Amino acid sequence: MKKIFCFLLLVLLTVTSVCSVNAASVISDYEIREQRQALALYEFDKLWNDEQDSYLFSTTFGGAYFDANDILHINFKSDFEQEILNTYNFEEMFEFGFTRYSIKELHEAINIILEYSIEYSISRVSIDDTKNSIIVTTKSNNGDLKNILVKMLNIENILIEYEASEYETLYTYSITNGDFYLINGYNCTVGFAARNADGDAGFVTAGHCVSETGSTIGEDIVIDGNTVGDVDSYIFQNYSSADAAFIDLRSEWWWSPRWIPSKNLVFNNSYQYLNTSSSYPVVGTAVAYYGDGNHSSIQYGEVTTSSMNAWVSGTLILNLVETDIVLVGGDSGGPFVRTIYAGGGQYYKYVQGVLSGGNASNSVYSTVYNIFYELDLSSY
Amino acid sequence: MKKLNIIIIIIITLLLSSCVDDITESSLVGNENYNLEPLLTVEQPISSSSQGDTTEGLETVIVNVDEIDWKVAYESTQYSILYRDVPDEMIFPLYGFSVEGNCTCNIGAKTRYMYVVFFNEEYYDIIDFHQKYNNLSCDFLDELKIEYYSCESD
Repeated sequence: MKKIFCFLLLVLLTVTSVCSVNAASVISDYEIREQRQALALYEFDKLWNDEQDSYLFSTTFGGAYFDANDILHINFKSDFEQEILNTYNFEEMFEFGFTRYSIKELHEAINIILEYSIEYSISRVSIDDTKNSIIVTTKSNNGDLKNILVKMLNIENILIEYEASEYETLYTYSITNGDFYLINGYNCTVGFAARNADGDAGFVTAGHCVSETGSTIGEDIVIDGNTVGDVDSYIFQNYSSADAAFIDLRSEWWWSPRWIPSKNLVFNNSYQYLNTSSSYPVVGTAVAYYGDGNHSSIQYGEVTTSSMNAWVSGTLILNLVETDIVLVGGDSGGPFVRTIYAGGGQYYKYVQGVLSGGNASNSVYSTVYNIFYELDLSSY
Repeated sequence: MKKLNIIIIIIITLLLSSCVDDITESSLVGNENYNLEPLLTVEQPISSSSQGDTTEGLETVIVNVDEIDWKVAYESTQYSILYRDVPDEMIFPLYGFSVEGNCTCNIGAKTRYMYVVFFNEEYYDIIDFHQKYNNLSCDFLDELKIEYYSCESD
């Protein structure tokens, strides 16, 4: 009997120690990754700032992305391979490659596709830098759409995705990021669109909007008097790297309107991407907070601290980004957005994170990267 | 005769005291559906901690609410509103609560930290108390100089 007890104790101790090592290694892996990316991004930012307006760079740049090993790939249009090789002497930290199309060409194609968005029930168009492709999301299961677009645009790298049929209904309304919502009588702000691990669509907001308002999982979310969804998951606890919640958009009754997330921002703006990993919040970077004016409206400022830990009331949240934008009660959960020039006269808005807290001179936000990590979310 | 006078005085006193009770209760009509619980503990910043150079805001500890040196912001026969100062460097979560149900005046976590209600020998969270007794208004916040936020779009 004693031997069995000792054996069980040994197993328990082993499991406990393995769990502890895993928890510690997650944090250190993240830090290592952050450092590796920061160095490459520093060099890339220099290249970008120096060359973004040059004709050769802006017409041949084919996208950039980190691979799973955190190697930064920078691509150029293959037709200009010799010219690029003669002009640029890249550092070892970049993996230099060639693609069929430049980002400028893909953007021009997107502008044309958007003109046909109603005709082909297109709900979203984006660029996949890793595949040098355009991704078209449609609500219509039209098998010819790819051929139609390839012929129209003379671009072959087009991927068609079909949106789930549950959203193909006349009574469908989009959620606007930056709008305020009610939770248990309190108000907070919509951050950005996302999906949970089950693939359910919804939006991200601040986690304390759930925990500090006497709410919990399943609490109704109300916008303009309509119950649009409920709390699916949230985190606001010591030593977490995000203050975030995911709201699953659901209809209250089967006959009531359906609500879908969107990339719309208040005041007729929209964002194109979420900053999921490939950018470091450099101090001095211009950022904007998007609110609908019920609390704050659009506010402009800059990053004052790239990564910091902060006591938000009594809760220590790690790896927040600090800005000099001063915000007020009700703004929590709203999006911080950075506008990036992508060459060829194109500007893109990247959502950086959602508001957590603030005082009389600063505000802090949780980054998209950390929110996705903590709540197991992905881009919508 | 003296005894009769004393009895009359006692009766009048009893009647008056019951009237005062009536006034108190009638002017603080509670929302029967809202379950108001007394506030037992609050957060209190600690001046020094091992938080390091990269940590902002203030670490707090939980203390009994009566350990705080509250000052009186408002006092009536029914309840008092007490307050304490806020360190500038303290960071608050920025959820909001609309006092009049529209966007004319919103309060939040900072107000909750600064103010409590003292009623029937118990402390209460200022927003919870308002949800029970509907005692706050924008004018009242102005009168008490309680900071609030209005809609920018108004």
